[in-house]
Amino acid sequence: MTTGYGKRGAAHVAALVFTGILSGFCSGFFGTGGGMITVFMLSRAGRLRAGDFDRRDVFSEALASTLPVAAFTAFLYTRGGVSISGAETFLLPAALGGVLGAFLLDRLRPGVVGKIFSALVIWAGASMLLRG
Amino acid sequence: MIGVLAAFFCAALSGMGVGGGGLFLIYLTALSGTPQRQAQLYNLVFFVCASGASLIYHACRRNIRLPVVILLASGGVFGAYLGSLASGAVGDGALRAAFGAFLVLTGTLSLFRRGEGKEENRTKNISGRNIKK
Repeated sequence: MTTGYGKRGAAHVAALVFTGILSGFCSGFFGTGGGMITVFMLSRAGRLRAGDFDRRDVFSEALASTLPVAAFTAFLYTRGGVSISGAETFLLPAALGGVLGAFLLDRLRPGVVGKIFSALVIWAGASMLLRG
Repeated sequence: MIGVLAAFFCAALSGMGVGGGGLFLIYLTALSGTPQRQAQLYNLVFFVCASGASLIYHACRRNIRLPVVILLASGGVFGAYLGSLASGAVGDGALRAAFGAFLVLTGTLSLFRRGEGKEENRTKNISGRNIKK
């Protein structure tokens, strides 16, 4: 299978499947984080360094692969007895915000926003750990 | 109303590739007091809507390789099954602590990640796909 990640086809196929498993596990366990892991792993797969694609292509592939996994995980959660009632409030704003973000990705440099977001995530994670 | 605004802005961040899904989960658990597993399900539904909508836009403008997506997703479905089993086996408190540790790790990684993209050297052709200058 041609993946665009190098000549070592079988090794790259295995690496991609492993990345998917790791990312899927995070989605299943934490309910988030799969996309971050996929972007991180794909960025180190040599594709960017080869210069064939830019980071936004990697991000789009991560998004496309995480979407069915998230839907499947949500299905597993509902089958496990977690109630989905109340989630409808977020559907429309999520869809509108998603389109706006995709539009802005071409027009803004997400670097500064990303740094602020990272600092916020570290703060939130540390406070969760400390509160237990 | 705050929840609607949080969903909108987190989805916009998610569409920009800065991890808004995690931020929305933080809002749900830390600010709105939603139980951890319930918040995780809300976040997954939120993510499906946000990423589905932004993916329509991305699919028209990016180079998305279907074999890569299929391989990632097939591994992902298996991993998600294992992850949801593990998630159901631990309590809300432990899940919350593990999520906190995960946030610190991923936040630190992304904070110190060096710029890898090639955006500066690119422009777009008429169809909107990225091409090299």
